[in-house]
Formats: sequence, structure tokens, C-alpha cells
Amino acid sequence: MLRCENVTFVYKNEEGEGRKVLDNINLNIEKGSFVAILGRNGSGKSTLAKHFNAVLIPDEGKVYVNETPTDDEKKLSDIRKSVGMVFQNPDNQIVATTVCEDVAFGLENLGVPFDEMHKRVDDALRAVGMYEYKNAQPHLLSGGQKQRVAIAGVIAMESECIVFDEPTAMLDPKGRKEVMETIKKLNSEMGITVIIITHFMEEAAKCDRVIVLDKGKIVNDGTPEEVFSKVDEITSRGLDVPQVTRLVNLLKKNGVGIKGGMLRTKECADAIDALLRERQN
Amino acid sequence: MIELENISYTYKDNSPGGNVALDDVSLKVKEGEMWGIIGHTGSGKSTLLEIMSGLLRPNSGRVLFKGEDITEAKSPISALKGKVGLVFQYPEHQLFEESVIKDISFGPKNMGCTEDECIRRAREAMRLVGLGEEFENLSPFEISGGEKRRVAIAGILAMEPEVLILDEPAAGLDPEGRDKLFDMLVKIKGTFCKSIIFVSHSMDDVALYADKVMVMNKGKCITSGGVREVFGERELLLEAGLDVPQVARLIAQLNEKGHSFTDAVLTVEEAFRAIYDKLKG
Amino acid sequence: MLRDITIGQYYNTKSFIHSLDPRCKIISLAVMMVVIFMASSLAEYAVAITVTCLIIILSKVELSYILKGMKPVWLLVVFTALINVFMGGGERVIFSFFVLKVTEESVYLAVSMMLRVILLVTVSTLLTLTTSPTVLTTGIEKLLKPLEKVKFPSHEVAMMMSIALRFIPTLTEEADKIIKAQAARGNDIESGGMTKKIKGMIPLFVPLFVSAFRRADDLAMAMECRNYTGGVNRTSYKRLEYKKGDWIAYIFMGALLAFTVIYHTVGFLL
Repeated sequence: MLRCENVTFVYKNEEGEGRKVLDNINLNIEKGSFVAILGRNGSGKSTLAKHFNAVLIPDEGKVYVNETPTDDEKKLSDIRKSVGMVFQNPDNQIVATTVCEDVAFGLENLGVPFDEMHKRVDDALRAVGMYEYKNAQPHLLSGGQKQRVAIAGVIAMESECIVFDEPTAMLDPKGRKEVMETIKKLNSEMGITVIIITHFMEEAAKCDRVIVLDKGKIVNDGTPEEVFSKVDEITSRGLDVPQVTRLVNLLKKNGVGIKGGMLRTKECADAIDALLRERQN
Repeated sequence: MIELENISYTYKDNSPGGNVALDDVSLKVKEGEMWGIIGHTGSGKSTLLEIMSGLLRPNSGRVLFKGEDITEAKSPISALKGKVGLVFQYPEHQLFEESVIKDISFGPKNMGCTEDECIRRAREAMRLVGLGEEFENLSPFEISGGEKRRVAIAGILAMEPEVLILDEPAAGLDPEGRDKLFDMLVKIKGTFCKSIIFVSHSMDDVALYADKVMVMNKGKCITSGGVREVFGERELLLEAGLDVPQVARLIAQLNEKGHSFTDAVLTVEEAFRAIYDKLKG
Repeated sequence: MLRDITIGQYYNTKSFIHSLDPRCKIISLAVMMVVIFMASSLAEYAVAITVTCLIIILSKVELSYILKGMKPVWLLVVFTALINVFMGGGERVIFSFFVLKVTEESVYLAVSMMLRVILLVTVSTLLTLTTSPTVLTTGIEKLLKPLEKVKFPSHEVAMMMSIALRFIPTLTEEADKIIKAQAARGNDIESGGMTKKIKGMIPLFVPLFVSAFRRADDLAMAMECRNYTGGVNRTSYKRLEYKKGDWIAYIFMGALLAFTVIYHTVGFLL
């Protein structure tokens, strides 16, 4: 679906001094996968995301979307259609004055005919559970609802892949839950490839694959269990691990025989329960 | 320090989020306390902070600062003379000067301090938030998000408040930035300010850093008190759509399985101690 | 406090005027403007006033609402009237005082000027009161469409208007927060003299502008990501269709225009 080959990107300031934001990134993202990209502020994760749909073009190396290089300007429209993007600030990506018109915005740009457009807008709004707000004004919606409208705008374009750039950073826990559930549904029910940039560990733990970025380089790549089991390394990269993962790590360090890399409360409770019973017997 | 007695407030206009009101809220903040206020968007937290700092006058009820009723004053905020400082969530809403030091001096300047006094206070505030001298002449628009937040906090600290109030101080920061910020706040509370009140969406942050908690739901205070007591009332929190930290959930699940841990476990370290003692003790 | 300001207030109800196509209403407004400007005799003013009253009744908008819309222009109306009364010139002097003299002609001129301004403001207010901003933008866009042939950027104008409408509430809300954040640092815009008030505005305007530019930047990128490349080959989600009522309104307005033009020319020839 997406492939990065030796991608390097240099950010130049006004004085012309360069800073390598991305340093030789090699990455392959399979169709239908659900990937989280983690990293502290300034690690280059947002810059990387903007390479996925040709908002930025690498200084060195290439990014391919379905084998089309993103620096091919003739294919720009196809690339943007295949890979959609949802940004952090829900207010700054809603263009139109009503919900349905905003969802239609991308379709208008693609020149979709009237009847088909209305059908696709309705379907997309139903998919994110915002159909009843079809004619609402965006500024009267909650943050979570606005993000769902933004997501509907991308799925109406029938994108195969959606890149989320910290979609929940400005939301409260309720909005965060709403948005994460919608994103999970896109992946599991509609088969859309999802790449989510976040620094909430609970969100990353729900993915199939976690990629950790630090100083513009990929420093870790694997399943959430594999990545989070390296508690000390993850912490040193300025990130968190789920509380139970840290607890299990502490127990292991102190000689308790328990499997590392646990993320969920229930599996951890079961494991500790088993240990306690073993000891009682 | 601050006492709220039966505060009620209703918005006149049909602002987004409805006529969010405060309904008979009381709170007593003593010297040396660190309060965490939790609740959903629209639960009335922000209104409460604005009333506490004299920006809004309640419809009914009294606000006492050191025993003196500020709601009777012509202008509640002037009556406080900068002794209760409120830091808003987004630093972007207040940074406007050409340099960091000038921006921080803005508060003391409005209080009528001499130029020397302004600079002295601004430098002291910068030291408290951990901004080095090299920041003094930088533009507040050029620095990173975490640094902007520090400048915003320093801008309030320069007014030398006895009570510091912060609206979601960690929102948008990465885990490392969040930890550093809270460590800084704990240090400020011990030395410079007498009490700190902060709003947070994160149960983990409140559990780790606050010693008193107030839970808001739909304009009402549903419970308040010591952090351990409040998190012991999990049913009540769930009703308000909130939850307890993951390790507290883990302990609850273990207790359901027939083990006997005390309910007062809030942090990973405490959970580790409790479980380790049972396994090895 | 800024939330009290609303631009292009919309009076939400169901009426004949509300149900009209926005293009029809805009064109009717233009006709009314011509009629009001051409009016010079008592009969013409009577017609203009009658039609305006008819529209008000058909629109089901409360009179107090329309009067509220007059508030900002009230001062202007009185001022122009006074100037006309005293400086209007003319022969038949009613009374004079110093260099100021009041004549019959100048009184007539002042009254007709006042009437014109009041009527113009009323009909324009009626347009915004009976048409939601979104629908109005669509109407303007469709009306300007033919001008694209002469290179007029009608799509861009409509897009700009719609984005402005979208962001007015967002930015007013933000302004509200900025006022509070600066007030927490002792910035006072309520009391003090003019210079102090203006000085107190700087800490409000700088963050507001910085934020508006950041939003514009973000929005441009978001639009680009959704394949926006300008008006070329674009389809539209919204479709406007004329109904029976619109044709009736057009015929009526056409007749009104014809009457005014004919009456005016005939009157001129006599």
C-alpha cells in the first residue's frame, strides 16, 4: 500500500540552516493494516505522515503509494484520493458551513455527479454515526463529532488508506473514545488501511503494529506487545507504556516469573491471579 | 485560602455546549493543597475556574479569598490583586509580545510595577518554570509548544499569585513533557505558591500529582475529598463517565477474583508493592 | 461578550418570502433598489413604501426585528437629513439663521433622502433575515457563474464568502477566550480613556491574528489534501431550482420595474 525508501527530509529555517527531520526511513505498510506511529514532540512523526499523501516530497529517497511515486505530479490527484488525511485540530479542517456540505467537499473537487454525491455523503455520514447531524452547523458540534465529520469527508472519497495526525490530541476522553471506536471500525469493517500518529499509549495498544520514531529515525517496529515490553527503552524515548505493562516489568525485574509485554488489564489480572493461587497452594 | 460557598452560575446566551451552569458548588481549598478537578467537557470546570479567579461573578453564592468576600467587590478580579492566577489551556491565546521576557512582564506591568521590578519578577518566573536566560529575547512565537506553555505559566507566576490555577496544563504535551511540567508544578507549590488547583482529563495525572480531588458532572460537584477516598468510589466515577487509573482497575479485578488488596492503590509503584508483598511475603 | 454580535442575522420561520429561491430574492432586491433610487414623486414613493410593507407582511418577520437592524444606520439617517435641511439650498425660505437657511425644497429633499435610506436598509435587511447565510452564498455563487466567461473569479469569491461564514463563530469564540486570558493578566479594556482602551486591544489582536493565520494555513493544507485545485471541473452538492412562487415574484418585480421606468420617462417628458 505504502512504501518509504531511504526517505530523508531536511527542514530549512529562514537563515538556510538545515535540520534533518527524517533520516533514512525505510518502511512498508501492508494493505488493511492498522499501524500506530509513536514518538515524542519533534521526533518527525507528523513530517513523516505528510509524506504519505504528497503534502511533502522527500529530499532524498522515495515514497510510493500503490507503487506510484509521490513526486509524480501527474498522479497527484490519484495519490490524494487513495490516501486521505485527518488532522489534529478539528476546527481547521472543516471547510463548509454545514456538515453534509463539508463531507461533500472532496467529492465536489473530484467532480462526482450530483446523485452519486448525495448517496456517498449519506453513506459516509452513516458510517461514522453522524447522519442525524447532516444539516447541523459544524461549530455547534463537540470536538469528537467534528473529527467524525472530518473522517466522513475522507471515506466519502473512498480512500483506501487514512492517515490520522494526532486526531485525539485536542479532545476530551469521551471524544477520544468516540473517535478511536470510529477509526477501529473503519479498519475492521471497511478494510481501510489506518495509520495513526499519537502519543496516547492506550490508542497505540489497540493497533496491529507500532512504529517508534525518535530523532527522525525508526527505532522500534513490531506488535504492541513486542514494542511495549521494552519498557525502559520506550520510557527513555520520552514515551509512556500502559500502567500494567510497567507493573509487570517491575515484577519481572524483581524476580517474579511473569510474561512481559502485557497491555490489557484483564490478561494481567489473570496472570497475577494464577501466580497468587500457585503460591497459596 | 479559597472558599466557594454554594456557587451557581447560568449563561445568558445560547453558547455552544448549551447553557452550561454551575449548580450549588462548594469547595474549600486550604494552604498547601494541590487540587485536581476532573469532569467532562461541559461539566462546568472552566466556569468554576473563572469564578475562582474573579473573571466571572457567580449568580449566587460567595467566593472568599483568605476570608474576604470578593463577590461583593465592584470588580472581583481587581479585589484579588493578582493573588489568584489563572493559566488558560492554550498559551496561543495570550502570547503577543515580541520577546519572551516582555510577554512575561505584561502581568506585573498591568499591576503597576516599575520596569525594574517587572524584569526582576519575569526573571524569577522564568527560573521557576525552568526557562534559561537564552529564552529572554526569543520571540514567543518561535519556541516549541511545551516552551510556550512554560512562558504562559511564567506570565501568571510573575504576578506572584498565592494560588495558581491551571486549565488542563498537560493537554497536547507528549508524556515526557507532561511529566516535566507536573514535576515543576509540584516544586512551585512547595516554594513559590501556597496552593495549586488544576483541571485534567487524565485520571493518571490526578492520581499521581493531586492530593485532593473534586469531580464535576453536569454543573454539580458529585464528590470531593482526598484522592484515595474519591478514587475508592469507582461506581460514582463510572456514572459520571469517568474511570480510575488502570492499576486501580487491576486491583479491583483481583479483588473480584477473591484476593484481598486494599482499595487505596493508585500508582504503579503502590500496586507493585502490594502484589510483590503478597507473592514473596 | 463578543458572542452577542451576529452578522447577517437570520430570522428562522416559514413564510412565502423565506421559501423563495435566493437568486430570485437577490434580483428582487436589485429591482427594489432601482425603484427606490428612481423615486422622485409622491406616487412613486407611495408605491415603494407599499411594496416594502407587503414584503414585510409576507415575510412574517416581526417589525421589532427590522427596527433592530435599523439601529446602526439611525445616526446616519438623522445626520444626512440635518445636512440636507440646512444646506439644501433652494428659493422658498421658511426661516434662516446665520448662514443656515431652511427652505421648502431642502425640507422635501431631506425627507425623501431619509425615506430612501430607511427603505434601502429595510429591504436589504429583509434579504438577510429571510435567507440563511449558506443559501445566500449559494445564490450569489450561481448568479455570478455566468461572469466566469469574462474571467471573473466567481467560484473563488463564493468560496471565500463561505469560509468566512464558517469561521466567524470559531473566531468569535476564540476572541472571547483571548479576552479572558489577557484579563487574567490584568489587561483591562472596560475602563479608562480612549488611548488606554486602544492599548488594551493590542494584546487581544496579536494572538487573534496569529491564530487566524495558523488556521488559514491548516485549512489550506486540509483543502489540498481533499483534492481542491480551484473551481475547474468541480461539481456542486447544492442545486437550486425555481418554483412557482419564484416566477410569480419575478413577474411582479418585472411589472414594478416597468411601471417605475415608464412613469419616470413619461413624467420626464411631461
